[in-house]
Amino acid sequence: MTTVPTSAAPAGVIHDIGYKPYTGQRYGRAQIIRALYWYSLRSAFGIGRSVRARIIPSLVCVVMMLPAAISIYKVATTGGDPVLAYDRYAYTMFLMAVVFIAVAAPEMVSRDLRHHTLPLYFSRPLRRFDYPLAKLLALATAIILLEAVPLIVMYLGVIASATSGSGIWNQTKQLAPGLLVALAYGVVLAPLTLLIASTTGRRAIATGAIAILFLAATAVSHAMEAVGTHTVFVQNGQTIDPNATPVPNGGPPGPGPGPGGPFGDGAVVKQTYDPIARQGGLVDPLRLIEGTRIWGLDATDGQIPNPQNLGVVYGLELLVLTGLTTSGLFQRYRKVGVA
Amino acid sequence: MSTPAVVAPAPATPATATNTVELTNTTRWYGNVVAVNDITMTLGPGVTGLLGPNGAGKSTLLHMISGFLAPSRGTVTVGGVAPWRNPDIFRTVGLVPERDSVYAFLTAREFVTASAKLHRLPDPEAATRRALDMVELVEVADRPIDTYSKGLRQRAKVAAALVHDPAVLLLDEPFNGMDPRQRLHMMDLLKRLGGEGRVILFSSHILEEVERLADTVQVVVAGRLAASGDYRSIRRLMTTRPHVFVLRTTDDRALAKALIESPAVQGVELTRGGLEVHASDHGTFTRQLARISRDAGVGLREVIPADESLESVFAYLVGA
Amino acid sequence: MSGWYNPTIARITLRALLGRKRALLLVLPGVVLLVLTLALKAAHLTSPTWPGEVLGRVGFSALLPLTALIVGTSVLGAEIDDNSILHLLATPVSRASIILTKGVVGSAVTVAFAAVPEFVAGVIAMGKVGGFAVGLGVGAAVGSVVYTGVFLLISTVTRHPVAFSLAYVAIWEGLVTNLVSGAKYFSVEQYALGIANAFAKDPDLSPHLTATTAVILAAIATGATLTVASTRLRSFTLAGDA
Repeated sequence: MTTVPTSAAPAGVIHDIGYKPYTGQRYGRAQIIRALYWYSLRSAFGIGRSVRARIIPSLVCVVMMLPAAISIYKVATTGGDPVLAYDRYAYTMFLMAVVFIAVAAPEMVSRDLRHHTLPLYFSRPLRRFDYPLAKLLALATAIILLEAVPLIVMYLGVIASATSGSGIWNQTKQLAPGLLVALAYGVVLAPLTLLIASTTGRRAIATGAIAILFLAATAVSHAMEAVGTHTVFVQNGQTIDPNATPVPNGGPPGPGPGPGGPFGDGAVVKQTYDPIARQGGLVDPLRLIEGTRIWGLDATDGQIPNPQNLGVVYGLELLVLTGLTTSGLFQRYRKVGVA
Repeated sequence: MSTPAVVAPAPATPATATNTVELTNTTRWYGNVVAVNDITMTLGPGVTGLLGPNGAGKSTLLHMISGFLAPSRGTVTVGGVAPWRNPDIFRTVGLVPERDSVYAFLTAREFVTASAKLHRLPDPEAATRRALDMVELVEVADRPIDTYSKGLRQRAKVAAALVHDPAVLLLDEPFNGMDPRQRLHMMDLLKRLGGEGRVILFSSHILEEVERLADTVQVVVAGRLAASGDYRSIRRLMTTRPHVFVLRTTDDRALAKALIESPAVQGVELTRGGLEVHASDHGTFTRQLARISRDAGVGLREVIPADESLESVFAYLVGA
Repeated sequence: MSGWYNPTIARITLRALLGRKRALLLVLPGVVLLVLTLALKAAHLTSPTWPGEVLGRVGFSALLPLTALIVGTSVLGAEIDDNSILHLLATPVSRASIILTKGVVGSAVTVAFAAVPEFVAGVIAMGKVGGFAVGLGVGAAVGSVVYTGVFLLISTVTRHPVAFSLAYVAIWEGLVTNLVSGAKYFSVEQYALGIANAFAKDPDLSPHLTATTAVILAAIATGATLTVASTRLRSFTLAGDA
């Protein structure tokens, strides 16, 4: 609207140069969440950032693929099963997951805290919980991709050299639990690590804290397993404990193991576990998943002591951990300051 | 349209060889982007202002002079030695970086004292006191730096850079975040230090700061050195652009008619604020103006050179 | 005179290291180890292999590198991150002196938070101050020094030293050295275990290097990493803002 100056004295004039506000269609919340999710997912793998950001994710992905590649080669040349079973894959390669998550989680949330960009996000039509939701989904997806893609690649490579339909069906039956584990890794580890990372804007501290969490927990539960494990030799129905310490009486050492020695004929090595070994997994998120898998899927090839009747506890703790950390993450973003 | 590099007459006091900063064909590129493009200049005693818009390469130049960046081509020397990979230059050079480079958990006194000790001064406490006095930080010197405002932090940085009495002082955007009073005080300090014969180089994109403080101006635009010297001399040397004067007289139109006959005058315009005269030849016009107006019978009330400010010089250089 | 150890730098580095959130992270691994050891001791277990297993292998493969990582990446990395390194670099102090001083501080703090807990845990586990405990302490101390050198070097090469150091510990020390037999000559964990075994003579530590080899390689590694770090620090570059 042009206002005509009414007096001879210089007056202000507002010119209509055709400015029109945008009145067309606007995307809604769902679109914002999707855009944030997609951006975060890409940044977890370093895509869309500088070359340096891609080094660690690439390295980790390559190492994750190695057993798959070796398995494909082996099955193609000599047949049989993959070198690393699908459902054991994730747990065996746990170090890669730790490194990946310890770098990706701070990448997602600590950067925004450091550069104070949260007010920019929240001054858009974004509900308060949309931000952590998008980040959570993105990190969970990234972890699932990291764990599942090697499995799928291995599966496809192995069935390519399959000779019969039953072979393919066999592989498929083995793949399914592996994918379940991958899913569990994403769903359980994402909120836990995001919660830790969201407490600080300094990525170094967040990475360090996540690394310490996992490695210390693994160390503790490994130790608990180690001390609760007894290796016994069973010979002729008689159990001989090779680790028995001689009684410090000052007298002559007691008689050695029975005739024929502990490695005589018919000796079989068995491992028995104290309750302490079975409880070891409760302090480590990774063992928690493994323990739940053994209990839930009635697996026989567990890489940690079979929890047996503690299996329910494992499963419950898994659920509680996931729930607590997820709600903790959302609570964290309820109040966001400008500084 | 290329801007000619213009150089003002040499400064009165010759620079001493021990602390002159010399750049010769200095170039720095990052991949395809040329940040500094073939700059040759010499910095002597007194205050030199490095003026340029953001992205012109001022910080890059300062980093090269202080040894934190190597030139891709050409040479940079401070007192005859190249500063790259040579921490010894900091015996005579003090640097005030633009970034927040303080140890936030130390107090200003501890911070400056640490600087003094790192310079291996014989009496660190006395040097600290002197430096804190110079920047007027004594009252708040015993509070941790992370409780300071931005202006106080800048002062702490300057104190740490001054503690070893450097002959060369490099400041990157030193007045950022300072309020007017702090700025005036810092300018006084720098002027005083420059007057003592030190080589002071500071960068800024704010014209008033450079106008007020610098004895010599180096204008950097898009990586090239567009102009050097005293800005008034630069203006005079820019003959391709006419000088603009605004005259307030008793009879603008009559004087306009008389002026347009002179070959030194390129154009006249009657404006609400007075008679605007575009003179192609500054010297001739100023000499002729009084006679012409007297002959025309017009009284001169005010003669104002309308664009001698650094702003117009700058705008010209940047716009071209 | 280039000088060697610089007390001013040491004091500032120490204050910066211990006065922040990072300090909390530092204490954790050692505390975890001690609590674990006490718990296991209290359980009166019969198997005598657990001290070697837990304190040796688990302590040396988790506690030691983690603590060294937090410390080693902070002594230089934190200052590079918040640009306060400029204040230090804008002085005539030689870059070698800076690296050496920070190396000393980093090693000392890591020894305090990793090697000492190892020693104490060893005493608790064995019930006496014997070869085992001393071996753990000394091995961890040497490991602290070499790790500090490695992480200092990583700090001069990248702006995200924690991430890359973690990748180094997980991929190199955690994976490659277990798979490739030649890698043990380049593994800090193996140096530490080898030296520890010289005192402890405990097969549960399962070292792959003899003590003399370990000492020599550790010395070489320390010298090499610190030298390269000094060289890189001399070329420290500030990318221009404008």
